[in-house]
Amino acid sequence: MQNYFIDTPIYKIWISVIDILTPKSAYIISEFNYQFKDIVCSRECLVIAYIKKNITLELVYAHEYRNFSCRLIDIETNLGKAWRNTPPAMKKNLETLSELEIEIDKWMSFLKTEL
Amino acid sequence: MLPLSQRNTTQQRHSLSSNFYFRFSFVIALLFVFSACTKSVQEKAVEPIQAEEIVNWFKEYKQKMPGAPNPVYSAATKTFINDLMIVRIPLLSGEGEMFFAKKINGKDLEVLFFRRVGTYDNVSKNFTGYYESINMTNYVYHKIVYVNGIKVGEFKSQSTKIKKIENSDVKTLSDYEGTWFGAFLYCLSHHLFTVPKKTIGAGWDCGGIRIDLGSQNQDIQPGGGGGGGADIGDILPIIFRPHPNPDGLLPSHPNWTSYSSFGPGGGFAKPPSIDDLYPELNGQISDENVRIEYKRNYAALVELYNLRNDNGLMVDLYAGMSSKEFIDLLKNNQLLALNIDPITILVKAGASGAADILVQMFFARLLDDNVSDWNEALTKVNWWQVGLTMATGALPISNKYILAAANAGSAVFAELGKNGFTSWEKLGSSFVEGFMGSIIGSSLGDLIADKFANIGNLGRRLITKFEGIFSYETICRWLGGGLKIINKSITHNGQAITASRMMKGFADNKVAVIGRNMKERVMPFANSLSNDLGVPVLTWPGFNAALSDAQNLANNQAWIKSLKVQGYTFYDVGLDPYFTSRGNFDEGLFYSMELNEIFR
Repeated sequence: MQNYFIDTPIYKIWISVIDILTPKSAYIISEFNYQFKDIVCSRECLVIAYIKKNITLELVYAHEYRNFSCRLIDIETNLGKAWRNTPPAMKKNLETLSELEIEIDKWMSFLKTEL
Repeated sequence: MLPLSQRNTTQQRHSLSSNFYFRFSFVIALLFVFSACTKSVQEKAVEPIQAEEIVNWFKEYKQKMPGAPNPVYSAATKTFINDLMIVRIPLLSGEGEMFFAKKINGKDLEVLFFRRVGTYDNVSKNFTGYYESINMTNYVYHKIVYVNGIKVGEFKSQSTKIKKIENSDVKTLSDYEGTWFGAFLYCLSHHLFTVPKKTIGAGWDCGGIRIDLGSQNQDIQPGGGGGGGADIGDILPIIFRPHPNPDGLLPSHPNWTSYSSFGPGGGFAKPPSIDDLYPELNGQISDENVRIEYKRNYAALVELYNLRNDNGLMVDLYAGMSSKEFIDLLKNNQLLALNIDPITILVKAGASGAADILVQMFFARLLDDNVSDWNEALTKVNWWQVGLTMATGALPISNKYILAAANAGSAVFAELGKNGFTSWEKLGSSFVEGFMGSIIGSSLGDLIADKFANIGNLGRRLITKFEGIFSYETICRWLGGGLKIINKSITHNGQAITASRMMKGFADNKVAVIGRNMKERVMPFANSLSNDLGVPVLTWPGFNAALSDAQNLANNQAWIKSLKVQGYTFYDVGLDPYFTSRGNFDEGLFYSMELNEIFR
């Protein structure tokens, strides 16, 4: 496979990303008491959102940058919250699902120290 | 004082007593001491400096520095100070002046280039700026800086190590796009003392003689420094006073009178002015500035052609043919023109014929569906018509857009003069830019009525024929639209969506919106705008999750291109503040493509 993310229909990418993320992020609910909010699939990105008190945690795969990242958002101000530690470096233009899994693993490990 | 024939002789170059300035300053010093000596020496029946001498000097100078500014002989003035005659000739581009000096009964002609850069009025305002000069005999460069009439710094180069330049030493100024004088300064500033030569097709080179300035340079010194004897620092501030009220310390201004030797009754006829050339154009190109510019650029092209042939830099198979024979040859060999250098074609065709060729190519390129490049356009030229144009001098171009054609022709000649021939595509682009960039107002309406039926047809042809050559913004601007800065906002779900710019197209009531976040920003804005304008406002409807990014992107791009051809106006709602407020300013695949197609 030369470049999964360029050559594959987008709905399949949504499904692949959800399939990968669901088991890897299960601890967010079980260990940190977040509630699942929703999944939004759009032209620009796929976002899985969790909520806890006034904080939203978003796991984002952006099609157009072909990268993965997470963010915390203050529900009242709608502004992003800074991480306590330095998050994983953003790697753009991923080409395969294996590369995406590596990125997701980095972020899941990071979230365990932040949430 | 070095005769032209000996000016490379080092011994003479460094002879202080032979220095023009030394003698000039000596004279000025005498004026100080003997205040009675203010009257100029009576002009002799035979003046020391003959006009022919100056003209010959300029001929040599023009050979060395093609493209250097021409002298304005008609504005030449002269003065006598004791036994020294000085002739002063401004240069055409306003770059500065050339000074010629010779002693009465002397035989050596001294030449100096001089210019002032700064603010002054010679009456009440003290000079702030700098004087620059180049001794055209030994090429010493001298600069004096003034602030409010007071000398604050001085720079002077000295030429001591002179050697013939080797081929490997030639420094190419390929990225240099300045004036002749600027090129001179460029060479000096790079410690490569040379004569700037305009190479054929490659801009300026420093070539000729090289002098390693190295430690010989004196940097800008505080006021009063760097004089080192008689020189421009002593003389020119007297002629061009930095302070209009010099406390009576300076002698009177030299009395400059017209140097009539170039005029009627002089040694020979006055050299023609640019507008005297190609008189057949006078009644046709009414705007004097456009006409002179056209003639100037065409004359420069002819000069380049002659220079190239004289120097043997080009083998012109048609050099022995008259213009008529040459065009007759093309009449019977329609494809032959493709193999002939365009400079040869345009020069052989004459000033009127050249414009005819270019205009024919322009319309063939735009209107003929079978013509997809400029080479093909060249094959469509009607050489019979060109021959007729040459014979009569009458341009077969509608008066309604003859100025645009003249501007466009000038642009092509200038491009050829500057960069030589690289491709017909490049020349064609120069012509289109020159033509469309100067066809405005009613001329545009006439052009459309004559050739294109409506503006949409012209726009469509410009876009489809010149895709990738001219931006959408450029074409829209030619047709009365272009980039507009706006501030149109709506509120959607509590969030402001703002379009801060739009690209006004050439079609009425055709509007689309681009930007980041289709669902939350682009579509709501388009709906609101549609209500305001009362016309449909489009957004890209083609996103398909069953397709890959690459396919969606290609579809989106095809959609944008289809709107451009129709002359749509695009509103840009920009990046999503939701992301930019979090430090993400990425444009993404789709929006980035849209910006490239429309706004870049």
